Amino acid sequence: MKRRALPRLLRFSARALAAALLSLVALSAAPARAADRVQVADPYLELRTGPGRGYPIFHVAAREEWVEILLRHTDWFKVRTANGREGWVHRAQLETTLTEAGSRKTFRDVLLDDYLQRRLELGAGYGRFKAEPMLKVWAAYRFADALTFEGTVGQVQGVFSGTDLWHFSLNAEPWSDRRLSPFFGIGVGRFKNIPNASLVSATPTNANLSHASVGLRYHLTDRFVARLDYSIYTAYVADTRSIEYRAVTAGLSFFF
Amino acid sequence: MIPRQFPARLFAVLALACASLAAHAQASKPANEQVIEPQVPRRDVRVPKIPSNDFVAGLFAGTYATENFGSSAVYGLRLGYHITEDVFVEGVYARTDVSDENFRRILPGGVFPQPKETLSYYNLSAGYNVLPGEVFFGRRFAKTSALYLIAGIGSTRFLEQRKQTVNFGLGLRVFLKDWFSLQVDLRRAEASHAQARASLDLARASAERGESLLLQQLISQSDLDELRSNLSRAEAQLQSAAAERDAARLRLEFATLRAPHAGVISSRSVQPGQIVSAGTELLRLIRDGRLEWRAELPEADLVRVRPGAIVRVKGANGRDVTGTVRLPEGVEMVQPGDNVKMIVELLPDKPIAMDEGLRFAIREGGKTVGAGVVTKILE
Repeated sequence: MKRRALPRLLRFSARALAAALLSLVALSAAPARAADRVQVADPYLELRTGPGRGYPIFHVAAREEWVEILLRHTDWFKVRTANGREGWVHRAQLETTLTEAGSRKTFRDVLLDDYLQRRLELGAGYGRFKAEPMLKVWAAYRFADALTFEGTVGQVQGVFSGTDLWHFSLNAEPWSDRRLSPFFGIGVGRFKNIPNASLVSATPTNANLSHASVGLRYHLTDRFVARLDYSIYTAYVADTRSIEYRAVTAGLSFFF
Repeated sequence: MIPRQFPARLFAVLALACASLAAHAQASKPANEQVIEPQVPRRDVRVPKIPSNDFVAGLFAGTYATENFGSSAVYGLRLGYHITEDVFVEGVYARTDVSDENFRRILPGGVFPQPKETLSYYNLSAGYNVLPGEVFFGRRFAKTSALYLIAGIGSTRFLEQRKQTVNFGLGLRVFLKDWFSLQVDLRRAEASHAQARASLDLARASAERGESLLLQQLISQSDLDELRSNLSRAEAQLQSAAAERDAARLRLEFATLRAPHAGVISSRSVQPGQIVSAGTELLRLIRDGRLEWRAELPEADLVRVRPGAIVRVKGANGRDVTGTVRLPEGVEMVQPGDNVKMIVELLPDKPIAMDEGLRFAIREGGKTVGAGVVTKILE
């Protein structure tokens, strides 16, 4: 009796405080290779101490000086000047530099063009699954202009039960070259419902699911895309019976 | 000497021949041909592939404080990606062993099945770098750093329970090397659904038990005060959860069936989990355990049947069920060819599977006055 009651007695994470998380982060190490050399074509190149507009400028490379590009961090490039100074330069300033062969390098900003060229995308959304809060995360790969393959993992935490689900889907986006574009998708996956321990004679459900969705995508800026979707999920709980759920989620994704 | 000079002369002759050939070619050139040949070097069309440190993978360690259960060491994995200079996302998975030592000191046996239970969580968070800066180590080293705000959603698993959790906090990142950074952060995680009622029950039980233990002088006054403060805190939390509980209760109300009258359920036409619409027949109920069926009797027996006669039905399981005959109002005597309605009151604690074809006997005064077959079950 005591063992059964225990899970309900604990509000384990109601106010859990994770304090002082010390972490060691190994960034993907740069392979040893010959650095790219470019010649400054602008009047000068500003070198900052760190990869961000808030870090101070500590050195300036003059026109026609040669700099080596060592590393990239988002839109910032770490360069080394001829006299050995190392600093961070924004992509915009490198746009006009020349390579050893005299041509320009392609250091453009991320624009709508990149959005149209995108392949891999990652996103997360929050919404309602039959009036209960739903959280989902997806990864999408665009293998043709109008077709996307997508994998989604979702979680619904209801009052009486919790649901985990995952599915793979195929999305068609007929006007994918537009900034605002609708999409349609179908997919299959798995649906797992675990009732709260306090319900009488509750049995977990583990069933196949299929779904159909419609949605809208909007390219916000840089690499961010906003997305709103409406899905109908059908869980095949028995040979002769299925349950239908409707879900609306809104989310944000970014592409690589 | 001669053999040495010979090759030199030969070269001179060849060179002369070439020069004359060139002169001849120049003379025959058309007038409109380009004079200067363009000296265009091969263009470097290679797309720049510069190594990037946008992706981050790491391990972390820290302390995790669980409310009411103290703090414990936590270890985990972290995967991150820097989207822009300001925004990054990260996913975390971590585990910690939570101990109920505080409760075991006061309450023998504790509150967990085991003294230490594993708590694991994962979450996805988005961070925003707010204060870029530098950290100075002595006079010679300056490392770039950033203060960030972070928030996200995830799930926590503990004692076979899972809860959606929201986390938020802030941290400091110091880049020691291009490929190596140190992160220190502080987060607060909150479960989305509080179970205040259960917590109150625990606190109340602990306080009551503590009071009895104090009487026996088994625990100190301060220990009891701690239990009492837990109780008052739990009571406050219950207030905040009241609205949610009421909503849940209302929803549960819709799922409860109430019989309009006491009786025995004779049949069920739905399966557990089936979705029904309004007006669908779910169950059949026999009021007060009375079963009614149409009986056929031989005419000779019929005249002897009187209201109040005892009916004995042989059930499918071999057991007899008895009842009494009641005729419909206004019918005193049954004539051959009449339809008889007999109402048999079954004993509610002895259910019987009634079916057509069952044989029955009507007894009165210790004698069998009639026998027949159940031909149709009316209700």
